[in-house]
Amino acid sequence: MSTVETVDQRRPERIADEVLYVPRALAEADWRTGTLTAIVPAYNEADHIADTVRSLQEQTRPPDSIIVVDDFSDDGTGEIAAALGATVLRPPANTGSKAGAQNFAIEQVWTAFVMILDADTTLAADAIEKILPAFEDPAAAAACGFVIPRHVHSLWERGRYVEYLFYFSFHKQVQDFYGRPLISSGCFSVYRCGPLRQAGGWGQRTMAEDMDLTWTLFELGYRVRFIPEAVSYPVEPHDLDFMRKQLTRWSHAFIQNVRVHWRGIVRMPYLFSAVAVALSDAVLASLVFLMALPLLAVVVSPVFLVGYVVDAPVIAVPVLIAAQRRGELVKALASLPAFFVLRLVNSYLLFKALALELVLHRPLTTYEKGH
Amino acid sequence: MGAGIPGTGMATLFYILSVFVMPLSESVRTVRGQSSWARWFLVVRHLAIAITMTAAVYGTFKYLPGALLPPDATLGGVSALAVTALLFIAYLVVVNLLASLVRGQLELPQPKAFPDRRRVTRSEDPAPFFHPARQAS
Repeated sequence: MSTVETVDQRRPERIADEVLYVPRALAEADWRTGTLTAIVPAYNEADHIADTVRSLQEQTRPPDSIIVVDDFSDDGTGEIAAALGATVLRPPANTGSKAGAQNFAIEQVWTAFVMILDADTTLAADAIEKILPAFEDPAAAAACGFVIPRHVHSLWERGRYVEYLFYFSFHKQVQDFYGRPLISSGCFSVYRCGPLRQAGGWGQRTMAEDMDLTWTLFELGYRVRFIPEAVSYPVEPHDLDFMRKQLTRWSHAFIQNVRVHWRGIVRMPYLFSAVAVALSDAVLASLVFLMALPLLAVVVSPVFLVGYVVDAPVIAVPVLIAAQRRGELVKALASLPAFFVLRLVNSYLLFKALALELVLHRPLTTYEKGH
Repeated sequence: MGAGIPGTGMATLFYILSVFVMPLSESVRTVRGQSSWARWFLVVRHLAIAITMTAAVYGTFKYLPGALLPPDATLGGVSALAVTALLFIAYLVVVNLLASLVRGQLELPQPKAFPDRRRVTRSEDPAPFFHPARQAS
């Protein structure tokens, strides 16, 4: 039966000082028998929410309950989800961020596992069935899956498609081998409820609640797994304006999380090295792509412009291998040039974020939806 | 480079080096009885990818931008590619040494930031549902 609930007595900020208990059953749950709740935070997602809810209902191992948090939408998102049979929770006011919406829902959840799925993301039919065995390891607190853009048409979607193929088929699998995936992606992740509550839910002190939670779980001594066979399909930003909003948030969030967690991650050698290299490389990329290469091209020789694409053969190797396995070789080849455009824009936005966060001390504090 | 984080290739070099250490790491796990065929399959597959990527780097340095990297771009007779890799490894060593120092500094003056969370929380063992410190001020 579909329900729409307005829970006006339990505002997230009111429960900040409460102490709740994690029952033994939640902390020690077995993935084969443990129950699973899917939480879908949604704000004005009327165009996508029906696909997302249906994708959950059609899983080979469907979740035991589906909760859509209608975060004060004004486009009928909640009504659409309710008509499809999902339980819809509606906070009394917009929570201001995805983390806020998820925290609002988690207090209603008492299943052993909880899954977060973005309102514009669908899953491969066997995604949940594939991801749950990650919890065979009793220390595993979270697991995330492979991400592929659902639509690959515009320049920005193509750039993101190549970026994801590269990152999820190479970097992230190596991180998982060493037990330190850099992030359990917020668009599709499953958590053991006990550790999630122990970590305090999703933090709102940075603009990327998923990275914050992942590093907090590591600091608490838990493991996080990446399961490449569990595939999700989010709708990615299709134009520069949306892409700019999303990348601005991600860039600021990365710096904010490094500032918040550096004392914790310095104790984890592999994670520390990966973060140090990622941060150094990001700074270097901004300097090289925005200053060094244009300057050298003007002052010395235009041949330095080759520097923008000089790593194309290296990028192409894992991308084309992953694309070939998916039967998308032509699509990947056609999309490859877009990756370099996206990287240039990303370099600019990261440089700006570095300046604002570290030099001008003007951190990003407003969660602006990227797509 | 990560998803949404730009890069010049330094991060990719880090992961290629990580892949080359995988067989050693997995051998240790095998001796301890913690390995599996699936993990070895992953190691071999990533080794193949990393070797192909290294060949792509070599090919790029050797054949493509001759004007950017002239044949005399060497240091003491060592190729520019090898120098780049050595510099990067040196960078990793220095950063990690610094981290070790910081780690030592951090562990001396303050107790553990969190209680031992590896222990499974019992129902009689209250766990904070929301850490006030984790919420935006």
